[in-house]
Amino acid sequence: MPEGLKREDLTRHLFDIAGVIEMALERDGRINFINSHGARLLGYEAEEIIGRNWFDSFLPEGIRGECRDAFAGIMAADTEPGKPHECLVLAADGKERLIRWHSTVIRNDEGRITGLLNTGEDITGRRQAEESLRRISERQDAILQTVPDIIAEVDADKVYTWLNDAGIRFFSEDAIGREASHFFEGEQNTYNQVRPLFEGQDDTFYVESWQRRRDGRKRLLAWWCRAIKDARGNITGALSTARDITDLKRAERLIRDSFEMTKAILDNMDAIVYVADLENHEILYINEYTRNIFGDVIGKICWQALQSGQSGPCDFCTNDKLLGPDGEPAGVYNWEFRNTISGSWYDIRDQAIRWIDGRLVRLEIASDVTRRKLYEQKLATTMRKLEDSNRELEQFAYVASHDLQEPLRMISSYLQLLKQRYADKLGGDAEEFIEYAVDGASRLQRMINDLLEFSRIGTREEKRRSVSSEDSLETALAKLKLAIADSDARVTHDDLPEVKADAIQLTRLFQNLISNSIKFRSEEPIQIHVSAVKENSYWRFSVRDNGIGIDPAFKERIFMIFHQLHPHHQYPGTGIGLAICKRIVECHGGRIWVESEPGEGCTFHFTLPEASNNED
Amino acid sequence: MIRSEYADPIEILLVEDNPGDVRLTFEVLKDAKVHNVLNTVENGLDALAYLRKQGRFSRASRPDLILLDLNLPGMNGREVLEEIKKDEKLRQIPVVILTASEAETDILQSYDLHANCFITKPIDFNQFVHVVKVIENFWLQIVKLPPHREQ
Repeated sequence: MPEGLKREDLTRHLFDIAGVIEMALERDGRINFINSHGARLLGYEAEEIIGRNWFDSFLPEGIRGECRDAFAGIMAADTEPGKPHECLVLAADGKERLIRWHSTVIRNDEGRITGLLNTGEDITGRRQAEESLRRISERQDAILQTVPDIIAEVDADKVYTWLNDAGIRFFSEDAIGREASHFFEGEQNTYNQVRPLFEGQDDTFYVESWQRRRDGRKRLLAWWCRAIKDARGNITGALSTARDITDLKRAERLIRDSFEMTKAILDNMDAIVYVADLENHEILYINEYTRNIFGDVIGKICWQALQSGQSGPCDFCTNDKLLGPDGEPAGVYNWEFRNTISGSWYDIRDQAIRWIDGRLVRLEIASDVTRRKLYEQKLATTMRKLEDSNRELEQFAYVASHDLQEPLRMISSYLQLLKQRYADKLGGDAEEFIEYAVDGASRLQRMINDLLEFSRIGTREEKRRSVSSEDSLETALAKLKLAIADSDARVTHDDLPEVKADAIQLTRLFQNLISNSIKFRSEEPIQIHVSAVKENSYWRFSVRDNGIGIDPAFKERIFMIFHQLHPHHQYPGTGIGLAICKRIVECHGGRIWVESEPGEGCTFHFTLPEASNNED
Repeated sequence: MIRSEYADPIEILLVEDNPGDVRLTFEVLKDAKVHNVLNTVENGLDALAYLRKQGRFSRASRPDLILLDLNLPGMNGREVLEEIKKDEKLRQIPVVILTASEAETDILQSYDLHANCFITKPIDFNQFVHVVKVIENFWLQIVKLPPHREQ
């Protein structure tokens, strides 16, 4: 021992150097001794402390009572100081520090307890470090166990050594201790792919691998793997996270497939399809058809790329028609336009839609209707010509009736005047000759009138509406009242339907057919029956008689204008009645024909369209 | 009141371009019970000039009845009718349309233009005689014609 150093002091110095508090308490709790380390820790010099009550001065208020009681117990020899214990002390700066104490009782020579000797160690910093380490570890645990992704650790042999909850949920607890390949589904290259990892590369490796889930299902996992090294840099294993991407892949495929399908449809459409920004008119999408006409114009401005001669947005641009007052898409706007570049006519459907990025854009689908347009124009021209021709024909018929009738009237009038005043002076044959002349003139007159009536049929389409064919028949019969009475004809009919027809012409049709039947009667009492049967959207009417009938050879000819099968003097008339019938039926879109054998009567059939539901 | 044949003659203006018709009308009216004077013009312009006493018609007298054909050369009967019925001084004179036409449009149009009646000339001579006689009977004997305003 060096000179001058007392044994006692040596111990104290050692305690000070070791950073240990040394402190002795009297029976009454007063501090009998404290080393300088202990005093500094409390923020004082040792001289300031000695003699003060430990419990009152250096313990936090909350634990004073408890500690004093424990101390009293020890002093009374009721309890041993026991194991090391931790206790907070109050320093001069008001802060608390955690001290780990070892205590032992002090006895005098008689063995009586005179105090307590304590050595203490400040563990405040250590405890704080432990606490924060514990918190970090808890947090990590929470993260590892709650992330939806699988987190797994393997050793250098690729045997699972640890799995988080998600990992266990996927593979089951039995996975730990098994090699990763145990869960592989199908042949795979995974081990080859991660080999560099186990050879020391520091990168994170990405691998997709089919694996068997605990329910036996095959799932695609995406793995991100990183090597783990020990302190010396040796690879001890790998830490990986994995995510089940089966559904994602499936959704991706679905999106890709449906996009491919949409693309195929759009590219195969025989129409221009493009998408352009509503504001700056930039073209965002074109289909193949558009590309073939205008080239690759994506990114260009529509009024520059798709039209010619525009110095700004086209004045026929429909963008302002695509949004409603609420700024939302207003539906399809349909229009026709002749493109200024291709010169073709298009039937265009424009619509505002939401683009991938959420903005509203214009979708245009324009079908080439040039051919239809040409047909329409041709049809319009033809129609106009036809109308002109019809009008001319009507005009002709009208003029003919007037202009032919005037001289005709002169002929017949003056013939009659001649006859009245001079017949007796002209000799025997004169009267007969004049008769023939008058008869000829009046026949010609009738023919002209018939021709006029014939020419007027079909010019009044607007007069066609739902009419009761039964009413029309009744009207016809009323007009034929005299003829029916004179010939004692019996005319019957079934219930007759509503048809779409010109009522006046329908009456005329029945009138002509029935008077035809009366005219060409046989010896039998005249019987005429009218019936109707529905055939698709038409009604087929039948007018059956028991007259002389018609030779089938003349079935067609009887409908020709002014065509007569019998001598005029035998069956008077101009021969226009059935021609008028045919024209009336055909102008209504129907058909007329006759079934007959000579001597067995005949049946005239004709069809007329049914009355439409949407009446004007 | 039935007119006596001794009263002032009734003035009739026949607007007709067909001399045959003029003659026929004349033949029938010649034998009429009522004393009448039949004046004839052949076209629409002359008809209006006659009624307005213009040009060579300055001395024409105002007719009591007009028989008007629709088909006239140049200005047709419809236009003449329209002019007459627009003219305050002429519109009281009854106008009988006497025409070969039976066309519905002609009939409607004539009445739209305020024709006083529309008669289709019958083809048959005897019928024609009958019709002219009916006209004579009705318009010259039964109907009370408006008094001559200008006199």
